[in-house]
Amino acid sequence: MNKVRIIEDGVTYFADGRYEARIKVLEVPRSLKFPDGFKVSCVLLDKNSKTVRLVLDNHQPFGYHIHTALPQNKNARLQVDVKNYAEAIRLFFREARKVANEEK
Amino acid sequence: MKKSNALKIKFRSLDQWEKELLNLPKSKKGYVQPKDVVIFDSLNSFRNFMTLQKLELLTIIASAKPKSVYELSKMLDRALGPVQNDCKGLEGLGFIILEQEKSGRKTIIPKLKFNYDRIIVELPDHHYELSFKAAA
Repeated sequence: MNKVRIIEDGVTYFADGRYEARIKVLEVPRSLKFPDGFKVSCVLLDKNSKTVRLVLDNHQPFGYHIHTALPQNKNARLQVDVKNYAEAIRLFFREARKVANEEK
Repeated sequence: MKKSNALKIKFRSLDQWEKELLNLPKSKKGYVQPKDVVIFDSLNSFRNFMTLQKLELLTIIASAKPKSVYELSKMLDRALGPVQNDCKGLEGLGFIILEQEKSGRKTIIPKLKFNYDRIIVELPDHHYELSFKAAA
């Protein structure tokens, strides 16, 4: 049986509670869909405007990609050249900090 | 004996979380955040968010169980607008829920997210250093 294991499913509020970073990482069987064996979803929410500001996830046919034009354009995806989920998460944190710093 | 429920406030900086996440697959156990835990990146963030008014508001919701946000504002002797804003803020971070009545006037009823009677703030490990030279 193909097992799916939850690696992380958590939320942290930062910048005085204005932003919510929500990260979910699942270990899934390696496949064409998830070649590195991880399903990742990182979401940054602005609680003031109640909008999603940043999403990084990996699914077919895009692989790891980031939605950088939120909330205006949900279909704008930027494929990111990362080797594994760890690099993707690092990138998400970097971008999330940028969003929070730019809007201080 | 009545069971005592607590909502826990914990802290982890984004840096710390990032490091934890990057090391996670090595450990066998994953982490699913319990529903009774709210995590802030710092004590400052929590203090700036959880104003005295919001704490007072939570206390009234827990003890007096107001039937509407309007009633809550009357109990607090505050204007409705700022009370609504505080309610929305607390709802957004999972301290309360704003439940709409299914029939009648469809009033919004503020309720605790679950039946907690305490908020436990688990302070992060800090090394406090007071410099008397600097203070002088």
